[in-house]
Amino acid sequence: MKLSLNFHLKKNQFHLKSNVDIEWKQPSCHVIFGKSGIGKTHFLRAINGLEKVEGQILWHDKHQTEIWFDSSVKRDTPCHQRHVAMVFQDQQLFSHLTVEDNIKFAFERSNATHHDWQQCIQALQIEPLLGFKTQQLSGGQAQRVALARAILSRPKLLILDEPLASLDWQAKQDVLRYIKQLNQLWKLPILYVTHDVNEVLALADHVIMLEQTQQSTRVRDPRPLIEILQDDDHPFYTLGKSSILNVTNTGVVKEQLVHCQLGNQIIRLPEVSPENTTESTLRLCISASDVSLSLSASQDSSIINILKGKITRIDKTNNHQYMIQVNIEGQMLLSEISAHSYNRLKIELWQTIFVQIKGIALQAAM
Amino acid sequence: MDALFLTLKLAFFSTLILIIIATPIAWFLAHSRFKAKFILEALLALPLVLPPTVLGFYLLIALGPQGPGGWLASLWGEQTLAFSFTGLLIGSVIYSLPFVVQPLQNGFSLIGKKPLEVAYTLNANFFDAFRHIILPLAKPAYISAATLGFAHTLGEFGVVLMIGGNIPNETQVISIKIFEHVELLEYQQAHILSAILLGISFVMLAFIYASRHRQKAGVL
Repeated sequence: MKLSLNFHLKKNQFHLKSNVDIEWKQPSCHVIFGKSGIGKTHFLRAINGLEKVEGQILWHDKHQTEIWFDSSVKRDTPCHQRHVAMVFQDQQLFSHLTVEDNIKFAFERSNATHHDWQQCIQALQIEPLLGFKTQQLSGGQAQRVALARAILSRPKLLILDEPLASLDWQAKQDVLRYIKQLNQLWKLPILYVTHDVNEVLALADHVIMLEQTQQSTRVRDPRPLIEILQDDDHPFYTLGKSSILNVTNTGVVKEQLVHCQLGNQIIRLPEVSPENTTESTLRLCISASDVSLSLSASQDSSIINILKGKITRIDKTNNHQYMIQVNIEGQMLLSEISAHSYNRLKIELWQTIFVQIKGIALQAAM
Repeated sequence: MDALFLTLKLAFFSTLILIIIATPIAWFLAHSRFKAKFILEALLALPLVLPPTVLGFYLLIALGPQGPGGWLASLWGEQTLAFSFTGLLIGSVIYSLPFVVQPLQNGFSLIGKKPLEVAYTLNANFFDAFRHIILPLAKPAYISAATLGFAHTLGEFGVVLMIGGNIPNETQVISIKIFEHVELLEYQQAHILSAILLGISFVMLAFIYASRHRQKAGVL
């Protein structure tokens, strides 16, 4: 599935230029990232047809190409025929309808089956909420209902517009878990919009950055998160300061630690959720500040994970800090260390080094 | 009692027509970004400030044999729409239009475009979304608009006097009848009819305010 966005959008002082293709190889979550007020919402509204643009918007399916917008042939597929569902920061549930009727509104206007309904209500644990008025819901509950409503409209594309922004910490974790679960269950292409770096790290497959240039907002080409985290030319490099390691869960559990394979080395994860105890690929997100370097594989530390690698890049981020890139079994890990440690350890390029990862920093995502 | 029945009939049909034509006008005024819409707004508010006689005078001309009303009447073999129930209906619709448009416009503005757009993203087209989302959300506004339109038509006098005349069962509404009774010094009958009109109007206004309070309390 692919979305071709070649358009520009002008509204009062605001000007946005987009010349990108967003492609979902397998159903996954691509994140649109940019700071508040840069025009993320306008960009989305152009995609779902609520905002007028100049240019062309195409949707490519496995079998066909749909013209959603093309100013040269004056084609403008109205919003309700594009089948792009949205979940908003403030949920936007219909206040005159109950939870059940809100979801039914979408259900009755789509080709969703009774089985889809059952599965969705169950996955999002909405059963006990069905009779509620929307005003009675907490933020997290309302967001779950909004998710169910969007999914049961059977969209081609699901857009989540800062869905966690108005929630408290606990509700954020819950909704985030549900979003990951949905992605696995329904295999929908998702566009997730946020200005929160942590949400990008937790969810993104590819990242589409929105950037302010002198006169306009520019949409950068989508790039894999794992790649831009290592690319010191990309603006996300300094924002993320993290690395992603893809490891294979072997299913072996020893002393409450799950053993995962990274090439020939083992990473031990504390307490992964039960469904992850079988063999599978896990994505680990590791903050550069949680990675320290050592010249030997010290046995006398509380750190559980010590891996061997080779230094492939050294960046001086400022006067007292260095960013060190270490290649471990072909995957890149960033470590942020002080200038003091850098000098003490006499760090050099291509040197073999041991990285220590604080166990707690290992976070399984998607 | 014929006058009372005629008045209620006139108010009922006026309100019905008003609700139908005020809906698109109010929607347009609430949501259009058309720059010159203030002209339409001013035009619609005219009945609020003009003496009913002025409005009635223009209507008389328009409905008469030389006006568009006369042409319309010629379609079914009449000469004029003035001094007929149809003419009265047209007159009261115009006269009461702002009282129906304004509550609806406020209601639509308050609801905003967002619920409609959300409905679009859930595969609903405009009419579907309007029928199932906007109309129910605007229910309080419709109750206000209909009640105000009805009550205002009940109290109409000047316009009717100009274009309706005083034909029993055709154009002799209650306010005209009261006027006639007073002129003939029949104070007894004038008292009865006035009291009825007062009662109906009070009950209807009380109904509007009660529903507004309930709405604030979140019952509606």
